[in-house]
Amino acid sequence: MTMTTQVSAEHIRAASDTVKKIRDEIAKVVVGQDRVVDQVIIALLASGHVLIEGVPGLGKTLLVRALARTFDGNFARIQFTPDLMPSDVTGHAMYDMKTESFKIRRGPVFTNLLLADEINRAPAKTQAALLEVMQEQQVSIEGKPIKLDPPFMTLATQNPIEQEGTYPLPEAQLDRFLLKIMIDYPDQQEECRLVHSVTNNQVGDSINVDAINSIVNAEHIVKLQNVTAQLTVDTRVSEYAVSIVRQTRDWPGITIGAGPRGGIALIRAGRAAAILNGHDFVTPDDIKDIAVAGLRHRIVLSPEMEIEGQTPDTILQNLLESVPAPRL
Amino acid sequence: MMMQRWWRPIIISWLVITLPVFLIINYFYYDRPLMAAFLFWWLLPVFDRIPMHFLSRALFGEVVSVRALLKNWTSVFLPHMIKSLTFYRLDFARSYNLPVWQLEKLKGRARAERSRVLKKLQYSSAVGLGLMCMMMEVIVFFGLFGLVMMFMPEYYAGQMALNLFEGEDVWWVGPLINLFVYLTFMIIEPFYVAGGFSLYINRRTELEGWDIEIVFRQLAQRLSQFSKAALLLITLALTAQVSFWSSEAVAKETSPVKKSVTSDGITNEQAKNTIQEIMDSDEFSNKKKIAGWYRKKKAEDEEDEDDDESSSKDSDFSLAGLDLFGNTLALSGQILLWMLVAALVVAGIYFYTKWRPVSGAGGRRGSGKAMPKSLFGMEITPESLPDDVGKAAMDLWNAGKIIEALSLLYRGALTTLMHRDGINLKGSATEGDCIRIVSQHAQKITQPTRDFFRMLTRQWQFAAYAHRLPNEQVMADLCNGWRQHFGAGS
Repeated sequence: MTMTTQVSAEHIRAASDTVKKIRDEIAKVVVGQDRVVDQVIIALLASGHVLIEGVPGLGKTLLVRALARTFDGNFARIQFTPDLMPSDVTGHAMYDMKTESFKIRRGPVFTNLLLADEINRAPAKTQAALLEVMQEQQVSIEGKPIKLDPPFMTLATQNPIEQEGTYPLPEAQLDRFLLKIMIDYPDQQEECRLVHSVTNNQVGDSINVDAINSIVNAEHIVKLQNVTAQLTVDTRVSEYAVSIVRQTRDWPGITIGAGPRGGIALIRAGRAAAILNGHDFVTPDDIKDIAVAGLRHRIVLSPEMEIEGQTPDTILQNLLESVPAPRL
Repeated sequence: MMMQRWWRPIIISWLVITLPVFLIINYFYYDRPLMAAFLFWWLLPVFDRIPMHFLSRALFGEVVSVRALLKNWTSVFLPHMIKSLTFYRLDFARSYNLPVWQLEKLKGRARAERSRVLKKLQYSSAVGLGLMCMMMEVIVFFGLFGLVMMFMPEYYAGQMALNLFEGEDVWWVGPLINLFVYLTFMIIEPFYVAGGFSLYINRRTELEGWDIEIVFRQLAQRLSQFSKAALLLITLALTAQVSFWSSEAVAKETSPVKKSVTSDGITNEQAKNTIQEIMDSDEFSNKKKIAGWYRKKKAEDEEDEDDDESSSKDSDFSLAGLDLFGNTLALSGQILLWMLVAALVVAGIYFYTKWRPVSGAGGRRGSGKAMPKSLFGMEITPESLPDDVGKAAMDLWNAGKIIEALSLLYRGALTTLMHRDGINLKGSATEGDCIRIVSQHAQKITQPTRDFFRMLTRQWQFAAYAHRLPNEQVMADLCNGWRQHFGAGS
């Protein structure tokens, strides 16, 4: 028993090849963050948004620029600050003296890839405006809804240090991100490679993304997303995903578990992971691989666990060790 | 809070039902007052149901009379009574669980599930409430004790001390202390129940979105007033003790002076001079020092008969009073310390069992030492396999049972890997995990066997998750390969 109609194996194979090429292109400039790159591509294929957490200077902007370049997409960046207004994000109507009419000035969200840098520095109102756009994929200016051009993906970043004066995202809004990706320092060998590539015959310290070739266009990405959405998911695999999510609600150490949106996220991300892994069907491994990234921002640890220094990742790893793999 | 609004009917109900029980217990255990107090304390979960019954109705506008309560005594007192007096007697969150038992009347799994949902987030508050009320009971008990001692004639105070600390039999001390116990529970217990009920209502409001937020805001407002009242009570109780000590000291200093002025109308100076003259006379100057051991209370008794030596008696009773408080404080400190030790042990056991799965050590989550009997819902014991797995799988294939045939091969391979090669596979291991674990055991499993296992797993995944079945040739290869890599002679 399956959840969806199947697409042809050729389409899936082609999609898988394209995705692998995109990954290879990004890997030319983003060094030592293979897992992060994979998870960002998974979110793109699943038409989701990601929240990236990591200290500054690990190549988050570079990653977004590189990804945008692989499909000739538009890229915009908003640096979130305490005085950022919702209209600075979405756009606004402006009176044009010449034509004596209001003109709509579109905000930076009208793009394919939006980097919302340090999203937790803006007040709740501005955050809510962006999160609404993420959910609805459209902007209302002066009461007029304007659809965003697909594909649209937000990559919001958070800095785990310097939390003073920030506005942490509430759980309900965190739920809107498909994945929360933790970006960490690369290992020594990869860092050496990174330093070498940045300093070799290069003026300044910015990494040049000119080396990245465009593999597809924006329309092609939408097609990839459609192929991904139609991938076969056996009922037992979806039950496995739901079991993991339900387990978070009963697990000691977790005060608030993931909601149904967590299970939906696991299936969506699992499909994209299957494409990335070259399958034309989703296996429990695809779900398990993405489970931590898909659920870490949807659970709230108990104070005892936080005092003990446990992280959502360690708790979820233990939880995954207890959920039986699908029964056959 | 609720108690502030309905304290009168609640206390009346409490008195009507518990006072006879208290009197009966004390009648039967007249000679063992400690036992009587213990029995009454042990029965508190039953008495808690009185305020709970009243509050649960009063909150929704129905005022229950004592008669109506007694009429429905079976539904009020009987549900889960045995449990509440045995397994759950020492549960600090008793008043929080009580609505589930008494009002919802849930049983078995439904009750456990309900309690689990309710306990999430609020349980620690409920336990905190229990601990706080216990402390309050201790304070109120000693406050009452101090208050009564303060107004008690010194003769009786001394007798009380003799009874408590010298073991002398004074008939009225035991019942009096039990009365303090009764009053303490009468004052605190309804608050404890009301607090637990408020937490329960609050949790249900969170869970079910009861549209009574405004009402609870009003309740919270009253709660703050109650807190002030409780603080006042504690202050009064403590002040009673302190003022008792201080009054003792003041009395000793001032009473002789006042007596001399009022009775004879002479000044202090004159009195001193006269005393000095008398003391210097021959009759009083013949001083003799006698040293020896004697029982203090006997001396006190003798002194009681002689009115002239009343000042000496006063001094002894003052010391007895101080001793009493010192010893009482020491005893209560000791009790509290032991309770703390017991609480720490219980907390240690509780947290160990609670967090064991989180830390991933031992227990039902699996340490990985024991071989699971089933994996992916399949039997994986050697006994569950046919003698010739390859042949049995081919027979299933020929019978059109393709999934079953592949399942048998895959199950057989896992069983052999676990029992023949000693590879540990957890119940949570997915197919990919199994391949990874097998590839890590290169010294135990040969490369061709690992390759075959990978191929078999792949075919199994195709069949199970993609519904893509192998053709006959692939199936025959799998059966032959199985015999070669996992069969008896391999």
